[in-house]
Amino acid sequence: MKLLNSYFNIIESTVTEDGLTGKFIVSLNGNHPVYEGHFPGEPVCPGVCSMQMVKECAAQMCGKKLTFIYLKQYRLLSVMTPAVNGNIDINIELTPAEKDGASIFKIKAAVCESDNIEQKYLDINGELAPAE
Amino acid sequence: MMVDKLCSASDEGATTLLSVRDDNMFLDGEKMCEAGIIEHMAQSASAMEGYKYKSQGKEAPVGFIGEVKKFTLNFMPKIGDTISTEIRVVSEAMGITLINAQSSVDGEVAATCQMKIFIRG
Repeated sequence: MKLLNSYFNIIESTVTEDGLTGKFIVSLNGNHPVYEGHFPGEPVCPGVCSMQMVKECAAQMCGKKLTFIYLKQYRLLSVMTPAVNGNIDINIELTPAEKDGASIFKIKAAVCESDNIEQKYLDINGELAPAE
Repeated sequence: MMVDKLCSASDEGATTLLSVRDDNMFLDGEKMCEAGIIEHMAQSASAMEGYKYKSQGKEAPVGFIGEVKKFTLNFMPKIGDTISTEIRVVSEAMGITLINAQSSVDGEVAATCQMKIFIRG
């Protein structure tokens, strides 16, 4: 599944030289077919699409396809919809780590409304491994 | 739809099945990505809630994921696999259902997690 350039578009991204801290400003596409079912006549961003969106941004930072092998916590803080929300900020912190002898990244990410830090949608704390 | 069959449902939990077909939107190549497994777990819990509402003569509610904790991925199911999922209800109050979910393929555990589902009737 790839959501970049269909479910969402990256408008602007700033990534530190070490590739570990990133800020992405993205827009959501309210016409994506996922909203036909989630929910009919009342589009709500599916949590799993938000996770996938964060993961695809993290993949841009390290130049590798990634998989969530562990989620300590994914937390919805307020309902996100493509219809009423403007742009979205995705802030990501990656920390290189080792798990079972393999290189992974610990990730902390927060998603909020652009220019309105008070309007938080979700946060994620987990582990990403390079995809096989 | 990320659930093919609700095999059993009670106040304590439910079991569901999903066959991974080549037209599934959550495929990464030949495998179902972790987002697909989580969505399948959430829809399994929603199917369980929907069954309870319908058996009481009420409209099936909409449910969405409020929280996922301790999600552990062991492997990604591939096309042709049948995912069997066990949902155990931990608590249910004020429109929030807390569940434990475990998804397996041929008896091998692919992923587990705890999830809070927000139910809106």
